Amino acid sequence: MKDFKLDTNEKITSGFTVPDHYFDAFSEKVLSQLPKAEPKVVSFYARNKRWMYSAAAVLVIALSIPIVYQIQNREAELTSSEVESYLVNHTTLSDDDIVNLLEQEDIDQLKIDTPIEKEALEEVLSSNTELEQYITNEN
Amino acid sequence: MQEEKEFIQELLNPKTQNIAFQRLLREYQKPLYHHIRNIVLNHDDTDDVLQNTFVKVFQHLKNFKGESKLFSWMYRIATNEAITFINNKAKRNGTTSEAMQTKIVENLQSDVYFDGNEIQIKLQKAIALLPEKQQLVFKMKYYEEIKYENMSEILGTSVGALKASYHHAVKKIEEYMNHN
Repeated sequence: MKDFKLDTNEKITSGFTVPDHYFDAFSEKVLSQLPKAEPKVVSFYARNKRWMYSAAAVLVIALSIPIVYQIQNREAELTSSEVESYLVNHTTLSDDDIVNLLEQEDIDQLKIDTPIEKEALEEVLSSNTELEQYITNEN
Repeated sequence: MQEEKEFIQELLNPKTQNIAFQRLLREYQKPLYHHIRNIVLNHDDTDDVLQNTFVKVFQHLKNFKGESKLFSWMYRIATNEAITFINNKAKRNGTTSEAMQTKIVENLQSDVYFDGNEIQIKLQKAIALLPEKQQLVFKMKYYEEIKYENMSEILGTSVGALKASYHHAVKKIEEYMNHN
């Protein structure tokens, strides 16, 4: 075996053999292992999940509108009545103070808001004992 | 190259994928089998690694950019799978991959899927003593007769470096063959 040269020596094969029919069955073996791009069995729920969620969301919003509306209204009412009771109970505002705060505009508005029947006015005036005094003072 | 692009498109298209992949298997299963077998040496291990290789190829096809040839890309995956396999196997057995290779080669005669004479076994023993990279280059060049240009694409090493590796390997092998 002196002077062995790979180039000049007859080609040496690896000597490995393969079981009979190995390659015939190999393709099948691999194909069965591949992560399947299976024809997806999509349930009705899964397919319409998006729509169902959207519908549910819309429904929730729609149903909550009257509730929100109500809450907001109640809050507004509460606020004005609270202010009113606060002013009555916790302040020392006299009628004169309020009168002083009224501008001409407010007075005009009051006139419009409360149209007084002639008869009612007459009745009030006739029942007022100090009326005559007012009239004379006015003159 | 144009044909290869079309083939890759067929592999990616769900409608043609099945047939295209079967063609890929037919074309590559034998060369890749021998490539892996030369690295891991035993048939059952080769079978495992080859299956993993094709599954990986299938999974990563969509990331294949076509920058390299399909051929070299697949060989690269097979090589990595085979080397990872023998390293893991060596680790499990608490030994180095070189020591394990030598042990497998020594027991080659009892392998039912090895039909080699004395000189074939001797050559396997000589190869098993080489560093990993030289083993790989020698097996790909000598047994598989892969061109340096293709080997360069597969292994990501320059042709010059591959030739040098092969030259070193041949020298060591001839020395072993002459003195044992």
